[in-house]
Amino acid sequence: MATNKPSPDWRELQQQWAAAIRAPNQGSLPGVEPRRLAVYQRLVFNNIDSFISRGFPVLRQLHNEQQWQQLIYQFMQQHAAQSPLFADIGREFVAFAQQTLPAVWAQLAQYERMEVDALYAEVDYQLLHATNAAAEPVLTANELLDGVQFRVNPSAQLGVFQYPVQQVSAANPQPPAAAEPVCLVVYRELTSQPHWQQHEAVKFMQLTPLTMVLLETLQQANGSTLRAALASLQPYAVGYQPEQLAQALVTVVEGLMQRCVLFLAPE
Amino acid sequence: MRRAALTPNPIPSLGLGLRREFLDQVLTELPAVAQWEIAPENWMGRGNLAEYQLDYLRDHYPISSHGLSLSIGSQDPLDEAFLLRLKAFLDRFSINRYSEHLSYCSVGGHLYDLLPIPFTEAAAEHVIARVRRVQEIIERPLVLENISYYASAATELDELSFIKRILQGADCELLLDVNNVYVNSINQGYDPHQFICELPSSRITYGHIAGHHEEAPDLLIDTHGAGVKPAVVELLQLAQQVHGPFAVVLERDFNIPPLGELLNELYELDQQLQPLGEALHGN
Repeated sequence: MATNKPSPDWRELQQQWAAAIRAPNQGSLPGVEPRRLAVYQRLVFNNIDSFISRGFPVLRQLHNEQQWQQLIYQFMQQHAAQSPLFADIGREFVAFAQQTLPAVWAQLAQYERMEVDALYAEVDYQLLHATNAAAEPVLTANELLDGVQFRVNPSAQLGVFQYPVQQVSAANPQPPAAAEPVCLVVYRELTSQPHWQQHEAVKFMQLTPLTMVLLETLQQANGSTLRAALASLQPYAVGYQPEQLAQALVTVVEGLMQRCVLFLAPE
Repeated sequence: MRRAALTPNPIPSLGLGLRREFLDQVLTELPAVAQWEIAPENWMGRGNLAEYQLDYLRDHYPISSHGLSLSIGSQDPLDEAFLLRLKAFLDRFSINRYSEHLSYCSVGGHLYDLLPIPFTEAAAEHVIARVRRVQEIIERPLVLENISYYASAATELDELSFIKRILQGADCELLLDVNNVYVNSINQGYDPHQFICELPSSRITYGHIAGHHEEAPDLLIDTHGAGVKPAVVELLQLAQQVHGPFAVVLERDFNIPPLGELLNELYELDQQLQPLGEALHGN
């Protein structure tokens, strides 16, 4: 039933409700029974917590209950999440983590998110010549160097970290920074016949810095011969003669094709 | 009474909320269900597999969409970029029906859960203007659902007047969630029969039914985590007697049983409702 109370400001009320939900220990809402407000506090927290706990299982393990709860509340209070998509809550959390967590854990959060991004990446399979490496004709080294164009797996997420994020665990929560950059690729093992029944596996691989530069170069070129990529790589390959580097790369590229990281672009 | 081994009607009138927990089984077995309801926010930007799955589902069933993050009642700016993306998604999968909650889920950023809009005239005006804008952008009717709520933020209007004010002011349709009416009637202490009877028949496009959890005798939680209570089925029967038959979707989002069990519940409910005319099926 309508009452005769003066009309309250609905914007003000929304602000008060949101504040009371984001910071449950900071008081109550006038006119709202605490146990009823508690329902909302619980629903909102549990929902956000479940997405972040599932999206960052390693990071979750490094926190006890209380620490984790505190971190989730901190996220709710300090980060204005802009994306309406539930799959993006993790991305919002990564942005928050960069401002909040120690560098090693902020980078771990980035790394854990790469898996989700690889899984949900939209791939145009038409751009890939063949998705099954075994079906490729055997190419000679010269053909690999000059005869074909390469494309990086479009689902591939490339990450360069100061810390060995892939080694972080409850037993090794804060490894020291590595001597040289830790280069990781996370990607979906694309199948040749995409179908609603094909759940493609997500894989990860550690790369040498040189291989990382190769992938970055090919990714930016969006289809390039190995020869064309060589020029960009030469400055990073100190002590290698161009032909030595070319030979080394042919071997690397064969491995990357086997592993579904590199594909031939259609002619 | 629980009947074993129910044979579904050739075309049941009830749809089911789609969950990834049983998606593969649905796509493999293609069970008899009037329509599937999906949350666009759980399918947009979810990669190739989701796209193939939805295409395959679309080939075999009508699909309705039921959004979660529109935040129609929020003071945060309407996310028009999202709406354009949503429209493209709905067009891509030929989904005509888009329903959302008469609620808000963001204030200075998303909270990802549904909060009750303060029931005031000014808030109703705000919602009406936004509904019109949404309908313009998505080029479809926006069907609004009466939400469940556990506390009122403001009672300048009562819930029924607030809902009717918006349906009329924005010229939009109602998704009547009878479980929410039941939950609210207990939580807020009103007569659910009267509430149902006073809704405008012409605005009711489809319905939702679900189970709830009793936290206290005067506090029910709309969990979608249990079977539908008989009192809620009775409310749906009443609604269909008063307003005429409309398509109904069963929602189950927690404690999800094996698909076969859920379908049995659906077929059992189906037999307790008025059959729908062919024309009213799906979207």
